[in-house]
Amino acid sequence: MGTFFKSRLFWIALGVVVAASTLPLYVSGYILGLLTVAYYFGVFAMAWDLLFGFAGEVNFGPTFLIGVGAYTAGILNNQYGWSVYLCIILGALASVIAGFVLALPALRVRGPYFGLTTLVAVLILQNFIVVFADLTGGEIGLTIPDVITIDAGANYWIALGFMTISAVILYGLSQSPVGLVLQASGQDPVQAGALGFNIVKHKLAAFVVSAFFSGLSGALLVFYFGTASVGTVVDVAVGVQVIVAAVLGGRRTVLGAALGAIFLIVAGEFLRPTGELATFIVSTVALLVILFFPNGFLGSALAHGARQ
Amino acid sequence: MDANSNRPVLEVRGLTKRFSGLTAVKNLSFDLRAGEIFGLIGPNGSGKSTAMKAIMGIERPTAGDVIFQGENIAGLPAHKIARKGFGMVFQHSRPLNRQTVLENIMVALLPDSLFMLFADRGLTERAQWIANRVGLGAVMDRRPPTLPFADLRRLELAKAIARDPKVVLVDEPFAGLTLAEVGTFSELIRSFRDEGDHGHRTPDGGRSHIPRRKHRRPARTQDRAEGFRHGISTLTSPEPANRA
Repeated sequence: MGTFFKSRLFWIALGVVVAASTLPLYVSGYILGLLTVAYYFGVFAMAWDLLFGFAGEVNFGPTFLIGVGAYTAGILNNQYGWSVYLCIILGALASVIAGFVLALPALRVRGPYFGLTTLVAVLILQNFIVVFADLTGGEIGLTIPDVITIDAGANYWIALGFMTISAVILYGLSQSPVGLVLQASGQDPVQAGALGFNIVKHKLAAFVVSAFFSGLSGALLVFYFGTASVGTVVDVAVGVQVIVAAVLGGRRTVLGAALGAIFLIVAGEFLRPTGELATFIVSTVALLVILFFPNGFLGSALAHGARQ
Repeated sequence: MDANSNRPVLEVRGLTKRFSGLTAVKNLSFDLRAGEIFGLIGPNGSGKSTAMKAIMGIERPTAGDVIFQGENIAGLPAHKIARKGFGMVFQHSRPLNRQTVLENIMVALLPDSLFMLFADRGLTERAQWIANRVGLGAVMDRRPPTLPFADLRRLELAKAIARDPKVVLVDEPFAGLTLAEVGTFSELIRSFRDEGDHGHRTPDGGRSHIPRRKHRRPARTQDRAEGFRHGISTLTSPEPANRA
């Protein structure tokens, strides 16, 4: 940790955050809104990278964790009118519980089966939302009466602050001794077991941490949108976007995942005039990066820096 | 020498491992005494690796007892067996390529805790000591992909002995090494045993006299050997092991 504060990465990250925090002073509300969503997506992607990059488990269902957090918070606010902050905290907790219940059996199966289990979980959640439309708003979406604030600048700062704090915690965790054990468990589970580490325990903990940040971010996002819908927080396509963002930014870098998410959201928006082509162009770029720079943006940059 | 040397540290009794119809290890029994280097030898596919994995708890034994210091540990998961004082050097290694050699060794020294957020200084010093001990002193700040093969084997050895295990299982220690490297490696393994016997490595704790390894091939390194003579006919072969 000590060396990190002296590293270039730290100063660059600090500079970027400081620069980003001044944006509300001179950019339009439209761009602020775009970046607000991008920052919440950044947290989704970072939380996902903790599982894939470090624990070595491909979670195809990031939106299961995000959706549970988002909908729990939304439903509590919609049905009972509880305070926004209470709903957000309960949403994050619901996501942790759901993640734990899902991961406990899923981590006992090996290889691709873990990924498949998480994928099925998303489909079940999606079905649940559609079937219990009275409670969840179904396919139309859930209206959320309260918002944190309507001020675009304040919303932007909340998202930026939340992403920054999440990044510090997730990155710090990934570089700590537990992160090292997690990485060893992901890399070679048999050997990590023979070194005396309870693999299931460590991966489960990673899943719970990932669930907490996904759920918290999902809950914050719906209170920003003022609505929760399958298309924005649960759909498999959203999950794929989170995964692409994390891989694009750089596996095992945590911070890169946030960059990837911001890139995807912003690029998608700027290409909007091209209509349906936007998704195609962004996906093609993502595919090319993954094929030719499998380490992603930040991974490649770090490797380049290390060589010099 | 203390009382421990009278009784075998490890007693394997009737160890059997079946994979749905295929008996990989059948009724293996042997004793391992403090400070002894014991080899399992036999052709490919005769079940040597499986036997070690069953002892280590990586594969759950189908039958039999593994008695370590008087306690039957057969059937425990690998991480529990490891914490009791076992280390294993694997034939194929996948070190953490983004971490340095020193950090790779430090992993082996960490407790199995979810709340270890900061490494203490003692850990780093201990890891450096181990790196020097196995001959990785000059390369401890490098990353594994830049190391020659023999050094990667040293790294595996360093991880296996990091927590002063009482029994070290070494699978194919010399695979892929040149003759000269085999000699060095052999000497290294012996020296650990000898140091262990005199308690050099943990003057503070006073335990751990006996890093000992089992491995196979160059027969010179081992004090005794256990023959595995079944090869493909494992399924129907008679008792593989006559106690040496």
